[in-house]
Amino acid sequence: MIAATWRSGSTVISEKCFSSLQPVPSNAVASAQPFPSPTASAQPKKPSFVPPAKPVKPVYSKPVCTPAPLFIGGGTAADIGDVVWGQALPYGAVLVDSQHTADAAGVEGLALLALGTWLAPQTFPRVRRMLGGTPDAELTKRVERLTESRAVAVDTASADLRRLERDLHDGAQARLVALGMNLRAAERLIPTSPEAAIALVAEARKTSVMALMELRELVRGVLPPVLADRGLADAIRALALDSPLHVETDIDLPGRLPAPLETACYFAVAELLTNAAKHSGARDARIAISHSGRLLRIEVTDFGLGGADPAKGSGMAGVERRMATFDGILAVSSPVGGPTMVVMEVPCVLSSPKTSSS
Amino acid sequence: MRVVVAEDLFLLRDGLVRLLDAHGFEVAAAVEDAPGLLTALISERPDVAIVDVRLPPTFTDDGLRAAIEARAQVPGLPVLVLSQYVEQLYARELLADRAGAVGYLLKDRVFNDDQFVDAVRTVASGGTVMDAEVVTKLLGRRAREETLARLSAREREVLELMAEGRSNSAIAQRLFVTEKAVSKHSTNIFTKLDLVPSDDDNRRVLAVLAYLNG
Repeated sequence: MIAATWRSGSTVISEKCFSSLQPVPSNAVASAQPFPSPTASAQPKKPSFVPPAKPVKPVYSKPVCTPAPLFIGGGTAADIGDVVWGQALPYGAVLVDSQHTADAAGVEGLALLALGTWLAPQTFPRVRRMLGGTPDAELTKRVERLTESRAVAVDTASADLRRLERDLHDGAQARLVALGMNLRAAERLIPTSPEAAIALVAEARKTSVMALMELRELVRGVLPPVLADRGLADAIRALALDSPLHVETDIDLPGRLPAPLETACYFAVAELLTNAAKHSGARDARIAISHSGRLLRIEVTDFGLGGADPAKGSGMAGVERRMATFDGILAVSSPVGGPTMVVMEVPCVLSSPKTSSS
Repeated sequence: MRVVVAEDLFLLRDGLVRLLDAHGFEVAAAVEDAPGLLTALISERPDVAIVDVRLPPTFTDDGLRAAIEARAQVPGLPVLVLSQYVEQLYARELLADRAGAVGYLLKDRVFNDDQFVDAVRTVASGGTVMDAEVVTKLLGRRAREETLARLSAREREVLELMAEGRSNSAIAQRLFVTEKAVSKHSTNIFTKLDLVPSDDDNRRVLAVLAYLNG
């Protein structure tokens, strides 16, 4: 009963601080007696939630943060009404008119002090933290997570740029140099041996086709064309079409995601689908994407062997790390015998509805 | 044969116009954005349009959307779409109206001008021309599926080349067989895909569509 009393007390205090008038049923008041007054204890004990015999008008506590003496002192609701609205000098709930009641008022003061001391740290834990108590474990964890995901983001971006530079340098750039050299050689050969010149020009043409092919693959790795053209939904549909698996898609996105997240989600799904095609033994897979509230949810399911261990392959762990940059989380369910379902959730807001015609 | 060309980069537009000129086409209009293309297609009613997927104003798939829109207004309007990349998704959208007279090729296919001009003519005459890259991607997927599983390896090869818009004689040359053999293979393909006898061109288009759309 005491616990119930204190719980209701703490509720009342916090509500008084943040909301308006609060009706308090009189029987709750009657039960709220950590230190019953002599008059109260003299009465036969009633079960705590039995309504009083006569109808009582509800007592309203005032919307202030000072402790509410009404709930603490003894007496029935009717007494309290008398105390508050009566003629005598009240100390809290106690009517001080003799040495006896003065002592009771002292006891009441002590009780309030004890209650306040006990309640304060519970009601205002943030205040306690601000005053230099124990550090916020949640906050510490969040800082750790941010530090880690930022490091991953920076490393990934830097590694991507290096790879891009190397691919361009060894690929398209080198081919263009060869192309220029071939064309110059052909130019010199035209007057003397036109046939050799023609062969060189044909080779130059082949070189340019190769260079284009490499550039195309490179662009696809940086920003897939359908993603750039139409956003995540159609890009995933295109991905599903290109997959060796038979992939069913169920995508409901009423707008576009922020560009960096769109790209991250695309490559996450691409990687999961590639994983599934390589290792799961599945023929069929399913991708479901939806957005509700402020949460994007992506499910990639393959109907294969199951038993995938995210800790083993670097693929899933890598996806998880990259999604963490966007405060995304990843969960895997892969019972032996399948299916394997990977769920990613990322908080985000969609931009205006898409205008694309199809 | 009258052609409308839509390409935003001047160098490429100019190159295309010269290439078409050299092969005896008449370029009715050469435009640089999607609204211009739509206007030209509706007013000029060319025999065939050659359209870049990425065009102003949004520089995304404006060209493709304008082409699909024009075909909705003028059913079966022959359109050959060119792009720096080919996507099955876009190929399907182009094929969705099942009207034929549609092509989808990588831009660098213009390097081989003879083949490119053949493709333009095939599309203009109601045929379907898909880039070898699209066809290859589809082959990986479709091969397992039931309808196509009925075809022999050779018949599948013939169908693949048909989808690229090649004529029977070109297929024969490519596969080192006689034209008669190719014609026999195509008849088998049509039968196995349950395509009722009608004129051969139409069945070719339907076979290709069956193949591409699964």
